[in-house]
Amino acid sequence: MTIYALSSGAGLSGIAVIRISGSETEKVILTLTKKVLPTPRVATLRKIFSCKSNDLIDEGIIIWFPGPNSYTGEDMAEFHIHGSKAVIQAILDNLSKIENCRLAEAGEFTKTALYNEKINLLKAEGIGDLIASETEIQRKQALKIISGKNSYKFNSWREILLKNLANFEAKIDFPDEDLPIDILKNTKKDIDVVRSEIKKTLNDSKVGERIREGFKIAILGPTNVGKSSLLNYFSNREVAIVSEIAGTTRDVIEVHLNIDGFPVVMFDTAGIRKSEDEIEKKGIKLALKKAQDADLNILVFEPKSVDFSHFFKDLDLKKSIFVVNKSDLDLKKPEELEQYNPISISVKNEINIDQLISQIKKNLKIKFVNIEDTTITRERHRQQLMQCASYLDDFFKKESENDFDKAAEDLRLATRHLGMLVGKVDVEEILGSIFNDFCIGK
Amino acid sequence: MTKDVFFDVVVIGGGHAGCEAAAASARLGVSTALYTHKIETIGEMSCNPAIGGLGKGHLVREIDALDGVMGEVADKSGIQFRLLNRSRGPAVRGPRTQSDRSLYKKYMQRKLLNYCNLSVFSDPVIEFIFYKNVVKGIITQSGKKISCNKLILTTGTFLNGLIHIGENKTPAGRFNEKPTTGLSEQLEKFNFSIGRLKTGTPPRLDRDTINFANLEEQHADVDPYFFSFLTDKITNAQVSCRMTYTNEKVHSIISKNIKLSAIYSGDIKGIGPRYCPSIEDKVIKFSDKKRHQIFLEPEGLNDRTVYPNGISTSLPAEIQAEICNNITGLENVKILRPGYAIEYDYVDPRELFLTLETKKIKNLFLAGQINGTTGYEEAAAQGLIAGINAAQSIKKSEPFILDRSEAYIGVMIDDLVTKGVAEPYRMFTSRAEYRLSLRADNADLRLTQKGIDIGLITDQRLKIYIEKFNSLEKMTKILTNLNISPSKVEKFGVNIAKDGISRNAEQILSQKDVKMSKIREIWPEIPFKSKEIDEQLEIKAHYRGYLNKQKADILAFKKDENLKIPEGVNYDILSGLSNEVKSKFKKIRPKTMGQALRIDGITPAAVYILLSHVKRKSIKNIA
Repeated sequence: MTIYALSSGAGLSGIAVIRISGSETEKVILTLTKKVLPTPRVATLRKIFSCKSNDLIDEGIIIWFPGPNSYTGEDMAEFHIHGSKAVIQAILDNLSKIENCRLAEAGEFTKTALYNEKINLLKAEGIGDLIASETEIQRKQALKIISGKNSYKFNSWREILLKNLANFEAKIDFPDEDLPIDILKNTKKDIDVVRSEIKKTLNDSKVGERIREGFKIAILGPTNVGKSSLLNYFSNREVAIVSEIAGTTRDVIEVHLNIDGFPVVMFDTAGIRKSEDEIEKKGIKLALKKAQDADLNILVFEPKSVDFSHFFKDLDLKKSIFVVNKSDLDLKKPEELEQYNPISISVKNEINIDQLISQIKKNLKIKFVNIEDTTITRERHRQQLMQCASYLDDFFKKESENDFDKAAEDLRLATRHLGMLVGKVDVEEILGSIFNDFCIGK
Repeated sequence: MTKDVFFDVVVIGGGHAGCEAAAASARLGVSTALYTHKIETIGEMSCNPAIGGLGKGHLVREIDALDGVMGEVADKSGIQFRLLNRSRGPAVRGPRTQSDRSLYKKYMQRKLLNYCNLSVFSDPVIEFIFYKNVVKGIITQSGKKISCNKLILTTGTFLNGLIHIGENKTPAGRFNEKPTTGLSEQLEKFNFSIGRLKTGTPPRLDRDTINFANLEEQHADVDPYFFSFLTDKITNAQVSCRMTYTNEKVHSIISKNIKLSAIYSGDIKGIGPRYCPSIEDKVIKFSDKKRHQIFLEPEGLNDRTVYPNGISTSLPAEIQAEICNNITGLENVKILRPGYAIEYDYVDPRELFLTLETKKIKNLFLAGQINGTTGYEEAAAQGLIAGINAAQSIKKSEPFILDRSEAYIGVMIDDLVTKGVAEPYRMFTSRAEYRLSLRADNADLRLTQKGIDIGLITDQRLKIYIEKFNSLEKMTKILTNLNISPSKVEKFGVNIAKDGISRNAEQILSQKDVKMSKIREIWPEIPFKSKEIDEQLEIKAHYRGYLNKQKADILAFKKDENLKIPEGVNYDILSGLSNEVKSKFKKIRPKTMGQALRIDGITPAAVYILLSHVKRKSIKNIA
């Protein structure tokens, strides 16, 4: 099966690029250009015809990438054509008429590259991130992943674990062989290096994930204090908007913002009040959960707010900014809030919102103080590393020879989780390490 | 006068795979015949005189749990029982014994010649009878035509075997035995993918010319661990092995003559195993090692032959003598027979279903070394599975397939038919994902019931197993119903967290250094059933936590693992699969998701595409 897709963005443009990958690529070029194949990897001007007749569709640049030296590892081609709706549609229509050709699914070119081992799992993730990047800092982080910096780190830890695991496995499977002794003791030094590096990496305040997913701000407060208006205010300021995803859940609305080059996701949540209504209670629970996960909470009140402090115990007030809305009503601020130095604003009259924004920026700067040394960029990475570290902790509890099998199991599981992180799980690697490092053969 | 004869199942070959295949098929009640060159070589140990070890010992226990013959014969002929890794935890203990080669053969032959539903013939098979792509029978050298429903081929290294000693090459299966050639040619016509492997043996030495005086001694265990769940004592005298070492003088002799070795002269094309390298390989690849150990293994109680394990070689005979004479203890040794390397054909096991039936010829099963494995135990385990499935198929019963979470046998066969082999395949415990669950001690608890379910288990074992199973259940119940507080248990010298929460006896048993003897000290009313039962309880407690986690993993594994892939999947229309992946899927035609995932070179992502296709399809069918 050969796949094709418009690789440049939708909409009017000077030039559009259609990519083709698969065994039929050669046939596609011959059919549409009615000429011999261009020299590999040389941009070549060609007329493009309808596949079943001699009707000219467009004229453009064709580049032919014979596999395996292509992005996907298969035969590939790029058609650089004029970027009009009509031209693009005509060429896609003709491609669909060629046997064994079909439109690619989203991300399929990169997936194919992954299957053909042109790129590894982490790099594939990096490419996905680069395509989705909205801010400068996201772009830089994605490029860092593609360059293989984090994958090199993960792989080097895994190699150390594998090498030490091989010591255990060799001793278990070849007990009569002349092999290194005191393995339980002697491997601990190596393993400890990996363990402490993993722990150091985990202790990163999730900066990498925040860069990728956005700094999370939850807007929280009693009902009818103007939370939604505040979110609307942010989402309506054109400079700030990147995109809007409304109604992701029944009760939480999120908006993606770009503040000073930092990616931010702002959530509106259900209003909090004492309620007996089951559905409303669920919404409130969800709101509090969002607040817990968020990097910053904006707690919104109004001068008339009563009965709000009961939910303070469920919140981390240290990562919260207090806001009293509706200052236009010219009422006195509630006294109970004074100790939290609330900012008085009026969303309606756009009063004092700059002060709120500068507070948000201050928090952003603290969070993103160290953006150079991020290794973990996804929750998936964190989960695997946490599992790995926890098995390494178990490993360190094993002292006696009686626990040799359990220690080996801890190390196996730790290694397996690192393997899942980089996309490699194979017993042959352990055996390979055993036979390369030790002379086995009774 | 020739008369047509018919058997349900015919087994060709009397090696370890053949013996187990014939016995399993007969046990399931179908008429079975075993054809071999010579009755006297049935059960021959053609390589080293030992059974078991890590992974291998696990396999023998599993064969025994399914009422196979190997464990019992190994126990009867064992002359040096050792439980390897005794101190490193129960899951990695591997039973092993040196065997008396002639006793092993004798007991195996006695067993098979008296086996119910089994006939044994010494008449070489010279031709297969096919009808299209279905095997129908065989023709033997004596001119007999035998029809059968199923044929199990277990011809070991006999397919185009070629022996190398230095520059000398002799076609042969085992030493001084003829290889099987005509059959190969007949199989070739079906375009099986055939590969070539090699293996080697050391020279055999005359015990009476070895000076044992200064050599380290390796004793048998005082408390022997048996292969068979039926064995309760051994009768043979136990002997010791001795150890000696190569030295730098020996290494320099080998280096100097390396060009004369068949392996290094380029004469051998087959791929040898990494774990059993020739002494030439060891010296060249690990040149920094000053010495390599050699185990001097007796081949029998009344046999002068000694097997020097560790110096397999294909150097010319006179160089072999020179090497030996420079090793401590072997200064004046007489070589009874030189070492050699043997090359042989194997059928790519990816040509097989999990039942070990070939995909190309219906009713033909392959088992043992012919599938690219090495070792008696690996061969026997395949024989068992082939024999069971041949008989199951005749009885129109479900195939008998063990998966990776159930048995080493399952791990091995899954590895073979999904990944193929790159070197002679040997079992290791590292290959098992669920090593802590797949132990030698619990092979019966894992497998015997499965055997009972299909009628494979004979009365004696059935009785013993049921008794053990019931006792274990009963004891577990007793242990979980007895409780004690932390402060009380402290008086018995057991320290647990003083949280005021009482623990049951099973939890106390899982504490460090607590054995059943301590438990009875606390609760004298707990009955004693047997040492074996106590040991099971202790092991279960030892792995508490680990086994629970593994159980959860296994459940998750089985969920995806057992998701069936419909037979007629058209891989060509699956989007997003590379051609390479498609051709692999088409070649192997995996039956389950788990099997698809383990095909060499298949990524989880590719399987995910297949998975979503299969799921989508089943939804469509409902709609």
